[in-house]
Amino acid sequence: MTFEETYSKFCKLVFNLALQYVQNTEDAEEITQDVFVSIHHSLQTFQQNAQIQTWIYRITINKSLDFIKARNRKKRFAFITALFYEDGNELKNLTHHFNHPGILLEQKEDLERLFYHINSLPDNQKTVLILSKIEQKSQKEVAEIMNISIKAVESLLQRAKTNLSKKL
Amino acid sequence: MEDFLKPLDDIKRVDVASFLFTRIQQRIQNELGNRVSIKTAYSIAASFAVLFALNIFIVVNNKSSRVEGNNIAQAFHLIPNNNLYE
Repeated sequence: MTFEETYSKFCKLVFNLALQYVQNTEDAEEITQDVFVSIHHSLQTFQQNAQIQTWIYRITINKSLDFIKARNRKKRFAFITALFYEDGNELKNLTHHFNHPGILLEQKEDLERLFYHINSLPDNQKTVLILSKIEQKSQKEVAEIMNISIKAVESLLQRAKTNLSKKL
Repeated sequence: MEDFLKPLDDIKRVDVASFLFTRIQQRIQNELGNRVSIKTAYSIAASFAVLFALNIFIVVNNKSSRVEGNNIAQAFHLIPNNNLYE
């Protein structure tokens, strides 16, 4: 499969998955770019025995989590800088804007609240929840993508639900 | 218990902006332009190695010529330094 074919087949998958992590169009576009640059670099060396879709899912999850970590790090740094300097523009630019184009306007408030709590979950619980509840993947598929057992998926999902129900 | 997760079912899939592929291609081109080829990296490493070897050779040679100079000074009963009042 050529790079162009890979892009046209999986760009929607990558963009939408990234969108579930960052809930912002611009950030999801940036992650999609990172993912496809990575794919371009390693498409030649990709082992055909692993499913290409699973591989792309993994890259997208890792890039999304890295993006969020980097953003939080920048935010912490900007906060410390803002304590010493009057100019707080950088901090304003880094604040997270909820702008999910796949959400209907009447549900925006509820989902913004729900995503706020989903974002505070540990990475693996968040990933299990996104894959099984939003991407509608079966537990077997989630286990394959995350490279863990089905039992572990069940337990992570249960913990994620319990944590969310406590917070909500 | 799962009622609070129900709104997640209504999230729609979104189409990707058409300009994104052009941006990705541009980024790939930029990265390829900035990348140094293995050949260039090897030749730079080799030149550094030659330079380093040359330096060591000069330093070692310099030491032996200083010893030789001291021996000649001793043979002709010359003062090997400028400390005349020692």
